[in-house]
Amino acid sequence: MKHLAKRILCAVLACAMMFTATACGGDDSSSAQGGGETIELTFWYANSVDDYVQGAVERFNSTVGAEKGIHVTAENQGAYTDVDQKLQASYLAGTAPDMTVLEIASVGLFGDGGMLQSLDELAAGESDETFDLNDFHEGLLYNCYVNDTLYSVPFLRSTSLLYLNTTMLEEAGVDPASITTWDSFAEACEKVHRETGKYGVSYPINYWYTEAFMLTNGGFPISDDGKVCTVDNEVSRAVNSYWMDLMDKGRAHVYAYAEADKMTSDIINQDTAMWFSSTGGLTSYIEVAQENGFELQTAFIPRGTQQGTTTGGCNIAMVAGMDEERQAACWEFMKFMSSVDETVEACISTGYVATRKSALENEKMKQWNEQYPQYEVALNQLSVAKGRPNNPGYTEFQVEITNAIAEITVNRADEDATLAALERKGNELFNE
Amino acid sequence: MANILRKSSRGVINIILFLIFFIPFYWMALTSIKSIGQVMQFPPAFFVSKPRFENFITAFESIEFLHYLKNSVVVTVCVMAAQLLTVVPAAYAFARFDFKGKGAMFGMVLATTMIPAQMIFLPVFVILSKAHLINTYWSLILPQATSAFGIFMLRQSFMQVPKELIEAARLDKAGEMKIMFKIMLPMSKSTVSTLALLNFIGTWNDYFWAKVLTTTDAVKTLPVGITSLSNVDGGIAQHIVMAGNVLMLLPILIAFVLAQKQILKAFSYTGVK
Repeated sequence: MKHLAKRILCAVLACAMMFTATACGGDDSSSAQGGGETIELTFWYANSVDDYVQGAVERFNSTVGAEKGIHVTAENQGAYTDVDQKLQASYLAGTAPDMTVLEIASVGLFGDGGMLQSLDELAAGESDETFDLNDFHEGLLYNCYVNDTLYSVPFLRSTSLLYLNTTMLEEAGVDPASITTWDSFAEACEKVHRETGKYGVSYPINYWYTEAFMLTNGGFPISDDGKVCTVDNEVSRAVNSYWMDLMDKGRAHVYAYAEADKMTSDIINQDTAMWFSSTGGLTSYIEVAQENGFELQTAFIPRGTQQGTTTGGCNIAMVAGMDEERQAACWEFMKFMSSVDETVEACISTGYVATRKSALENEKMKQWNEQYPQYEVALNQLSVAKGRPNNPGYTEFQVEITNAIAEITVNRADEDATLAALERKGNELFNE
Repeated sequence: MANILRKSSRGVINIILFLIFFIPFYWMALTSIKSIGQVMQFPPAFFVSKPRFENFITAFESIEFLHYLKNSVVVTVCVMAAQLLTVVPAAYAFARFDFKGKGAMFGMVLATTMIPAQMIFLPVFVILSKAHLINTYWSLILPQATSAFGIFMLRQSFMQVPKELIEAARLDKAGEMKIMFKIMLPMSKSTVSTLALLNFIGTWNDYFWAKVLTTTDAVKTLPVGITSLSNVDGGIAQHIVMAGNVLMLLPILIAFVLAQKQILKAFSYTGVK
């Protein structure tokens, strides 16, 4: 017992010494460097984009930052939901970062809550011709505003996209270029199934793709004014019937989103000729195609009554409550990260779309698009992209619609009752 | 005949229970030595002819494994030490003293086990942040520095120690600290070992607090570090993630093997069956 007590005491003392060393590390927000004050800024980001973000921050620190006395430290917080959670808590504690990425649907929540700095004055007073709000694709700007106030600038943005294993399609006698409408998409699925016995499409049910199909059929789960839920109607019934029909005839592998790993397995084993995913996965899918020996192309979401696609990804926002000097320093960083050169780098490195229109004229981008035309399709699709709903209740609704559509499509729950219940729930959430 | 039937049905149930607990671990170990092609293969293979042990090297080299390991060790050891200092006196007081409001206080302690961590995350973060403790080891140790379950379990164990033994110690002029640490604790060795192991597993595997109470890499622990392995190889790296999980699991297996005897004893003594 004596020995045990001694050992425990030693462990406690050792730990106490380690704390002292760790807890004493100060965190100054500005430091003297060569006589001038360097402004230290913190930038939070999310997801597996460390290589690109850390590289971009390094480029900023060594160029604009070195010139203007600004140093940025980028810290990965995990997923978008982790950023939201920690941002709320750290804002309350007064220890929020200076800038953060925000999943585009969260901009409304934080902007409305007064946690973000309005960028209107900074953007209006900008004389630097490299920054031009009109140069961003219109479909990407929608989620930068809350009640007509600019709270963020587009950063790593994506759209839903159709991916095609053209090797499989051609084997089945399908011309990949012919897949443009709901009908031609269904026809391609039918041919693939008939000729190869495999699936035409592998489809995990998720709100993003449901939205995209509703959009291409002339609807959307929420009204344009962002107040009314619009799912109990013929538009969603047509989307559900379309998928149930493909599924029943063995042409589509349809499953709940909880089993989304099945899609990766279907792609690698070449058990499916097509799938839907974010443009953010493009770089990874090109690697997968090369490793597994098939050709990969991308295409627009098939058109029903109209063309359309949903957007996703994140913007950069500035946290409220800083003095003007820090705001100006943050603005320098935000301009740098949304510059044409950086948006091209981000696109090449991650697969997210280049957010600036003039990126198309960029030499590096041109060469890249020539080498990988899949990226150009993603970029062209931006012209028909729709922003994400800004209603704060929509985040919770996304889970509800994903579950309800899976219930209808996979478990064959009563469609009328499920859609009516979903619409009721949606209206509750949107008007809380 | 009835006896044979009873025995064989018990055997079948035992085998089923064993498989329920064993298969997930086997699957993890198996995936950790497969190639990504084998992982995605359908129908899946239950054996691998050419194991890919290099997955472990990839997992080790893809993240700052030693840095996260050091953090995990520091946090786990400190939480265990802190709980020893807070749980033992509390359990002793609830087991052996009568004081005003004892029932209500014990009820409050037990009630804390019903509050999920997600609900108290916000105030905990704000308190630690205002005290400038976020991104230090303190932020991961203080929220777990005591355990209501530990107090409850140790109290039950302390209540089983004969009163006469304590009275005899008092007659010999032993102080409360001496009674607590030299009589009660050795008499409850099995319960203490079990608590230590459960505490070790809980803290070692803790993902939630380590994720939400850190904003930099400085004190992040292994469970959070290992999640970033999913980014290896373009985000399709289940085999590497599983190799990381196997590496993280090893210390728990070793601790379990060492403390196995005591744990079985503790569960049979304390009536936790």
